[in-house]
Formats: sequence, structure tokens, C-alpha cells
Amino acid sequence: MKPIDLVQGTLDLLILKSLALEPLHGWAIARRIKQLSNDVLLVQQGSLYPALQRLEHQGWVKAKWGVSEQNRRARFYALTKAGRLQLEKETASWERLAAAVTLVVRTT
Amino acid sequence: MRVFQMLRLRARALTRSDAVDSDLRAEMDEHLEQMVAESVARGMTRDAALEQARREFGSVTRLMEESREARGVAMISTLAQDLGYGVRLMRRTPGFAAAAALTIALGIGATTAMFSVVYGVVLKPLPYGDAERLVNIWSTAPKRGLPRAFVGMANVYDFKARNQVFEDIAALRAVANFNLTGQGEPERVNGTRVSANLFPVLRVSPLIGRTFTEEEDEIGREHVVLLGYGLWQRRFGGDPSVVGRTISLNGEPHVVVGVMGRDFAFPTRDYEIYTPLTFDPEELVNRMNYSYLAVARLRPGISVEQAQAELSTLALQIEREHPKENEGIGAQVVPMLADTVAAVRTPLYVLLAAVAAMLLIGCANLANLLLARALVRQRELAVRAALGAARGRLIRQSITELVPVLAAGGAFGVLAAAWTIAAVVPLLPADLPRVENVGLHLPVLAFSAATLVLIAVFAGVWPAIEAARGGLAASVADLSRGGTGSARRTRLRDLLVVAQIAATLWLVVGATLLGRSFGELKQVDPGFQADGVYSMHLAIPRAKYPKDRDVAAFCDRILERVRGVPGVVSAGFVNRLPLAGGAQTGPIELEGIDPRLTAGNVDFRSITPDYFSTLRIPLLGGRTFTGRDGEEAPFVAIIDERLAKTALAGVNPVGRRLRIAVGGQPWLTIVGVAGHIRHDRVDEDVRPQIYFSYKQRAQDRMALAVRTHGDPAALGASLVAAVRAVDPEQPVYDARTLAAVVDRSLAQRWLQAAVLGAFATIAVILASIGVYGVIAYAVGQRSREFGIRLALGARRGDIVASVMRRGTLLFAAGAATGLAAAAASARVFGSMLFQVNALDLFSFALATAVLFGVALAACGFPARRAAGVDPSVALRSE
Repeated sequence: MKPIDLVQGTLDLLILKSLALEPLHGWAIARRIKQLSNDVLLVQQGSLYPALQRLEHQGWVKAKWGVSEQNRRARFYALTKAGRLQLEKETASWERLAAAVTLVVRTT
Repeated sequence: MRVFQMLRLRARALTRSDAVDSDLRAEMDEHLEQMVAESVARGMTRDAALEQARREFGSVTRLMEESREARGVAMISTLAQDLGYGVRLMRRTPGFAAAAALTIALGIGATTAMFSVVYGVVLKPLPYGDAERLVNIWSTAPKRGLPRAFVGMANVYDFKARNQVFEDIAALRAVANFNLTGQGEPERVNGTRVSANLFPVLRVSPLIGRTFTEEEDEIGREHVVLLGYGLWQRRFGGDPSVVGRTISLNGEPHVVVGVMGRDFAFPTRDYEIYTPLTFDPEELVNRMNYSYLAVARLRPGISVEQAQAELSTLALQIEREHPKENEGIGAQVVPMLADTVAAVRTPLYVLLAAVAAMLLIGCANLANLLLARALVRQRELAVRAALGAARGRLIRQSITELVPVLAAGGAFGVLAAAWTIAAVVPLLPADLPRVENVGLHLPVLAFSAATLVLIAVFAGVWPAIEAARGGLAASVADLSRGGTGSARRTRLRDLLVVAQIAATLWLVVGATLLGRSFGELKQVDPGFQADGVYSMHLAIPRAKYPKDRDVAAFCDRILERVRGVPGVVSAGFVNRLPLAGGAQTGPIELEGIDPRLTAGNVDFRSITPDYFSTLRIPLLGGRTFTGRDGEEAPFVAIIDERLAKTALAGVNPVGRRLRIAVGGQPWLTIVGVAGHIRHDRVDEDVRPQIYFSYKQRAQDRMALAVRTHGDPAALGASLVAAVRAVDPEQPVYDARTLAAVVDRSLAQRWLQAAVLGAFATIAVILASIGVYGVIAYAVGQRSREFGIRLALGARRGDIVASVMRRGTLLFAAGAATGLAAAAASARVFGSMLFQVNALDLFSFALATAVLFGVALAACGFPARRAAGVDPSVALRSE
């Protein structure tokens, strides 16, 4: 099946979600999203970065330079407390949206 | 925590956007590299892997651009939201916004301008290396009536050889007139003779060329000169090739060895020429001639007190070795900067305090305004708080709303300060030291910023907290019934007004004292009549007129020519014009009179016969000089009334003899007694005066005084022309009416009184607005009550009286505080006053009465409105 392009605005949610478990660097975030969605969601890898900058400046994630598992220099992003709250909020609103869309689509 | 982190991020994004970009770029490169590595591991060639990675990743340039946008949007969104709210609010209430911004602009403008003067004059370090280690060394001779005097070279040499506290001691003589001739108009320039080590002591280097060498301090090798920056620009067009050229000073050739930098204004900005200091080696033996200023650099770690202790010890040691010459001579060490600004520091700080008081008064108005507005909106706030808005959030919003007003007020204030400085600094008295340093320096702007923050806290945060204070539910109920607000808040508003009245009264008392002091000063009879006299100074070059008789003859030729100018009544020369700065003094002895009666220095003045009549100094006995009192004639002198009274009480002075009490001077016969005049300053009367005939004690620095019919200023040009007609190479300087000379000597005092008066006037206006505002607000709040009272039969007079009573009570509380504050600053005010007691009852009473009148007027309008309340309307509004 052809992967689906992302709905506008959902990328933030996906990033926040993928960071919920542990701090990750950009490449690992992309990989995590791909894995979690069973390869269904395709994120254009580069588009992560403007999103990460936006999240950082909202105070939802914070970034720190570190060393990746491949022993390379990488910038690790971690959820802040505010980010966690935002994740909950966005998850809730996504679920409402998804439920509503499902309802509309299923109703004949 | 989060706030700080975000602030840091935003600050970095704003100020170091290139660094943020390069970080991001590195991150993306790393990501691409990972993708490539993964593909290569799956067996792809590196080139193909790179190609694929780039395609999947997207354009790095475009992504960078998007990232930049993302940062910007996030940053601006919240800020814009908050500020936007503030701007909308201000637009909705433009009158309020304008009043608030104007108050802030006035406060910031006045404090910034005033502080820029204080900083430039008193606080800014001197422009020398490690300037805080520089000190001046003075002599003290309290037994001889001289608390402070210049130093003698013998003592400087002894100090230099024996002290352990200074790196080096330099000496200079700041009173040297140079006539600069050749290349255009002859010009008289102030110069300083300085020892070669002055420049190393000050740690300054010349802009071009070199400073002096030790050898150039020797007599015969001293014909070298260093130019000040201003002179170099003005006279030589800033031409660097002037170094090495020979210029003519006092008719003698001097080689220019260097030019000093723009900042170098030593000892003051009036000095523009430096030549080596030479002195008669005999001075080291006879230990005479106390006419040098010593400048020393403290060794690192040595305090001024340690240096003072050491020099005091050394002075005693030297006194023991030379008991006669050094009897009672001590030494005083003063930090150079403090010494330079000693006379103006207190007045400047008083004016700064005055500005601060004015700022406080303005801020109190602003706080009252904001408090009133916050209380009006309290219902809204209470509802929002009840709905769960955090108190902190509400306060933050109140402050953010103020930001546009603060920004506008602050910006206009600083601009106004810049204009004020540009307009006022050139008008400041010329004898105000370091005035050239006044400007909007960085510390001044930091001070303005701090003041703005203070205003924000005092006028903004505080009312906001007050309005958001607990018991919100209660106030919803309260306000919905249109009550008068809590007693606590009323008290706070009252407190503000009391503080305003106190600060204003303090200022008005100060201004009244200074005004009265200046009035007293204007009443002082200086002993001569300045009106109708024109004056100018001449430095007569000895190279051209070497002998005393040449100088006297030159003066005669000028006088003859000047008397021929139409409109001239009389003309005379004197070597030191009264109130023009500079004196020539020394000790004297009177034949057959107890030396204790003539202790202390007297003023020496050499004059031509018509000097007394020109200045209308009365001749009280004997005769004035005549042309016959020449070199071959018997030596004669004229003493002043004061010396006649103190030393020769009850004796006819005419015919008695006196002499200068310095080594082997001839006796002079007293031929006349003249009136005593104020010579150094109008507000100080230091020494008795004696006069010599210009032919018997010729002086090469002379001042010409000319009495004219009508306006003396109108004759100025033709008088200068008359001097030039006698010698076209003779420069004249400081040509002005004698009345202008007198005014100039009073300029600092006038300025202090005028500025404080202006501040006090503004304060009165601001305070009356404050009183009016509070009373009017209270009347508005109570209008229903007044309505009821009127309906129940109260007379309108009772209503007016009740409002006025409240105003009077507020005034009384403020006045008590203000008068106490004024009395407490009596010591400081006292140092600025002339013949007015700092606790002068009249000034205190007058200031209080004026302010009381203003306060009553400010209460009057609201009181009349209160009495005019229509009971039916007031009650219907229920």
C-alpha cells in the first residue's frame, strides 16, 4: 500500500508522541514514526526540522547536543513538562477528531 | 524555569541567528549521513545512497528557511498577542495613554539629563590610565591663614626623594599666558608649564609626536611645545606636519614636538599649550615660591590615607630641618577627580535629588491613575479570577498593557534628554569643571533603563497587585453596588498624595532658599560700579617689551589711544580685574605695626592712575597714583579701607610705610586709602587689598577697563581696534562688559537657583494634578452620599467644607513630612546658600503657604462639583 502523506498539523503530535518514551535525535524520531505506524506514515525526513524548531521555541521540547548510538554527534530532543501537557491535549483532540471523522465516514 | 529557558532560546535566536542556523545545518548533515550509512549497509553504492537520501530528505535550503520562519512565528506570536492587547487598550483610552506616556517621558527625560551631567562631571573616570590612583598634593599653612596653597619646588623635591607611597610626583604651573603670533590673528592661549614626568605620571601618550624629555626641563632647552587637540584643529587645521615646525610663543620660537589627543583636557579644557617647567634653582635653597601644583601617582595598593599619613610625617621632618622656611607648612593629598569637582559635587547631587523627587511626584500621579483604572476594571478582573485565571497571569497582563506606554515614554524621555543636553550644555557656566564630558554615555542610558524599570514597578506592578488583591468575590458584590472601595485602598491613594505633597514642599523650600540666597547675592555691593564699563585682557609679551618701563609705556600708549575713542569717559589698567578669576597675593608688613595684625595674605594690584575713577572705587583718603610715581620716584602704595581699619585703626595711614614681606623688598610710602572691593567672588570676601603704581611694579598680564557713555558693549569693537592700532600683533581676550564679568561669576549660583526653581514649579503642577485627581475621584465616588445628604437638608457649604477638610488633612500630613525633610537636609542646602539660614523661617513659611494655596485650589473644583450635585439625579442612578 502506498504510504499516506501527513495531515497538516499532525506532525507535531507525532513528534511529541515519539519523544514520550525517551529523548531522541532527529533521525531516530523519523525512524520511530515509521516503525510505530508500521511504515504507513511517511514523513519527509527533512520536514522534521522546522517542526522541531517550532516545538523548541514553544517550550514543548528542549534540545541538547550528545552522542548517538553510532557514536556520532547528534542533537537529542526531550519532552518538557509543558510538552507532555501539550501531548495530552493534542492526543485528546486528535482522538475526538478521529472519532468524529470515523463516525461521519461510517454513517451511510 | 521554562520562562528563562524560552527567553534564553529567543534571545539566542534573535542575537545569534547565524549560530542557530549553523547548529541546525550540522544536525541536518548528520541526519543525511545516517541515511546514507544505512543504505550503504544494505548494499547501495555511496553515490546512489546520497542521491536517494537527498531526495527523501528534501531541500536543505528550503528547510532552513522554514525553520527560521518557525522560530520567528513562535517568538512573535505570544509577544505580539500581549503587546497587541496593550496597544488596543491604549488606543481605546488615548487621553490616559498620552497622560501616562507624557509623565514617563518627563520623568525619564529630566532624570536622564540631570544624571548625564552628574555622571559626566562627577563620576566619569578621568581620561588617564588607572586614573583612580592619581592625586593632587597641596600645601597647608593654617598658621599663615592659608588652609590650602600651591606647593614649593623645594618641598616637592624632598617629598620625591623620601616618600615610599608614590610612583612619581610631577609638578606644573597652570597660569601661563601665551601669545601665539604668526599665521593669522594674534591669539592668547592658556598654557601650562609641566615637568617632563607629568605624562608618564598621568599615563597618557601624545596623539602624534612625543612628550618632553627630562633634559628639556633645563633652562635654555625649554623652547619646545606640545599642542592641545583643540588648538591644533583650530589654528593648524589638524595638520600632522606641524610637528617639527617652529611657532612663535610670546615672541620666542618654540619647536612643536607633539599634539595631545582629543580627550586630554589637563588641568582643564581651557589649557591648550604645554611647555616644559623650568624654575630658578635658587628656589631649592631659599625654599620660596609656592606656586606649583603637584600631581602624583599612588603606588598600587597604597590608599590616599596612607599617602596622607606619609606626607604629613615628611612635612614635619622637613619643618624640623628648615624651621624658619617651613614653619607650619603641611601637606594635603586629595584624589584628583574629587579635587577637580569638589565645588560642584554637592549642588549637582542636590539637583539630582530634586529630579528624583520630581520623578516620584510624577510616578505617584501615574500610580494613582493606574490604580483608579485598575479599580474600575476590578469587576472584570474579579470575574476572571473567579473563573480560574491565575492572579499572576492577571498581574502579568496588567504590566504588559503598560509596556507600550513605558516604551513610548522612555523613548521620548531619552530623546528629550538628548535635546536638552545639546541645548543646555553650551549654556552652562564656563567654570563648571568637566562639562565637556556631559553626554548620553552608556552608564547614563543604563541609569535611564533602571529608572524606567522602577517606574514600571512603582506605577504599574504595584497598582496591578493591589487591584488583584484577595477578597475578589466580595469586591464583585461591592462594586456591583457602586460602593466607594475599601478603606485600605483609599488610604493607599491618600498616602500617595501625602508623599507627593511632602516631596513638592521639600523642593519648593529648597528653591525658595536658593532664590532668596541669590537675591541676597545680587544685593551685595561689590565696592565698584560695573555698569557702563567695558573690559578686556592683554598678555603683554616680554620678548617684545622686555623692561618694566616698556610695558608701562605700552600701557600709556594704549590708554591715550582709547581715551580718543568717542564715547569713552575714562580708562585704566589693572593687572587683575575683579571677579574675573585669578589673584596675586602675598604677605606684607607695616612699619611699626604688630605683625599679627597684618598676618595672612593681601591682594596685590598694579594700576594706572585712572583705574579707581573708571571703576568708581571711592578714594577715602590721600591721593591716587599719578604719572610721576615712576621708577625713579619714591615707592608708593595705596591700601584699602579694610587694611586701614584692621591694622591702622585710629591712625592716619597716609605717610606710613609698608613692604612685601618676602626677602628684601623695598619700603613703600602709603599715599592713599581706597574703598574695599569684592575681588575673588561676590559671596566671599577674603583678603585686604593694596595697590602699586604700574610704573613701579609693572605686570605683563593686564586688564583694560573703560568707562563709557551709554551702552559699553556698543563700543567693544572700536576699543579692541584701538589696542590693535597701537600694536597689531597684540592679542586681546575675554573682551566683554564688566557687568557680564560679574554675572559670569554668579552664573553657577544663578543656574542652581534657576534649575531648582524650574523643578519646583513642575513639581507644584504635578502635585496639584495629583491632589485634584484624588479629591475629584473621592467626590465622584461619594456623589450619591452627597445627594442623600443634600436631600436630607444638608447645606451646600457643609458639603464643600467636608471636601476641603479632607484636602486640608492630606496637605497637613504631607506638609509636616516635607518640612521635616527640608529641615533634615539643612546641612546640604546650607552649603549652597549665601547669607540665608538653611532653616530660614520665612522661606519655610512662604513655600508652605504657596503650596497650600495651590492644594486648596486643586480641591476647590471638585468641592464645587460636590456641592452642585443634584439630589434627584444622584439618587436615581441607584
